[in-house]
Amino acid sequence: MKIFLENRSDEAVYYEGKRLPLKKENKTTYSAEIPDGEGEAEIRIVRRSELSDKFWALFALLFWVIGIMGFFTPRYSKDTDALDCKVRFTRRAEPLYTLLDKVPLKRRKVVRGMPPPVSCVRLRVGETAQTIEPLYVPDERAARRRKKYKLFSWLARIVLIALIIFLAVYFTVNG
Amino acid sequence: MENEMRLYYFSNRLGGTFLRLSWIFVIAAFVPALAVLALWASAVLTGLYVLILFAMTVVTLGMLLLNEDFRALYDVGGGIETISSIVQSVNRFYIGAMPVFLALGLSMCVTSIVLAALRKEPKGKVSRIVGSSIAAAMLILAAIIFYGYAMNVQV
Repeated sequence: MKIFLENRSDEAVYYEGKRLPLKKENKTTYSAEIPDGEGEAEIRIVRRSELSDKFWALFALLFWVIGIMGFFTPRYSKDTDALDCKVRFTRRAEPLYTLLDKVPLKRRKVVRGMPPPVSCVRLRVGETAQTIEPLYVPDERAARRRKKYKLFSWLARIVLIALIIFLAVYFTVNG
Repeated sequence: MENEMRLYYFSNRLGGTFLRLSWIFVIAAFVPALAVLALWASAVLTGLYVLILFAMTVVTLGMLLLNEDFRALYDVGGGIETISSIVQSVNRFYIGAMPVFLALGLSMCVTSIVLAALRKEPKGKVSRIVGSSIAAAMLILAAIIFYGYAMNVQV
């Protein structure tokens, strides 16, 4: 059985506690394969920002230093929405495909006057499965941490560069 | 799952950082080659400059040569000597620095390639491996140019 992740999704798929390796199907689609069998099965689809980790500050500082004031380390993603969705289904003899859409940012949230948020799991016609918490949830903590990181990063850069210039001028003048 | 995600993010970020840093070493490794190019360019431009002066002299039937200031313009040795001394200084520095740049740059490229190859996530995997491989190849090329030629340039 295959799970398809569309539009370069960055979700992780877990089956029985193990992360499934993803395979590229084409430019925009990746797939994960679940072992065949009988009875009920459950997969977990998780998306989490790096900044939601409890050691985020330590890692951020470490890579700020390694990346020479953070200039050469990859930026943290602006998209901090989290997903922790379970899909329960009964395995059948024939293959069963579950499709996972990367939902655009503006269609994830509850907005007055707009249609309800879109589920990240889209099943094919005729498929039956139970989905638990299939909606993206804004991770405010990760979003705040991203802003904090940017602020402290720039402050530290300005202070460090000013200090380097001061020391360079001081030692040049005084010999 | 928490530990696995943490390890994934850490290795992904480390690989990305190392790839970017390795390109700094690539640029640094090409400095001696660029210095020699600058020397050649200055020689060519000096030749063009003298040619223009000669053309002006011919056009004025040599009358300009009566002017002492114009005759002084023909003295171009100082400029080339300055650039040559800069190239020699750069070469002396790089005799010690090139092995360091090569070692650090290549180790970062290899680390980035290994981390990308071990990823279960295919997104960005190929581009990172290709990018790191190109950076490693450029580093080796810069080292070959330096040890094979740039280091021995004498003017």
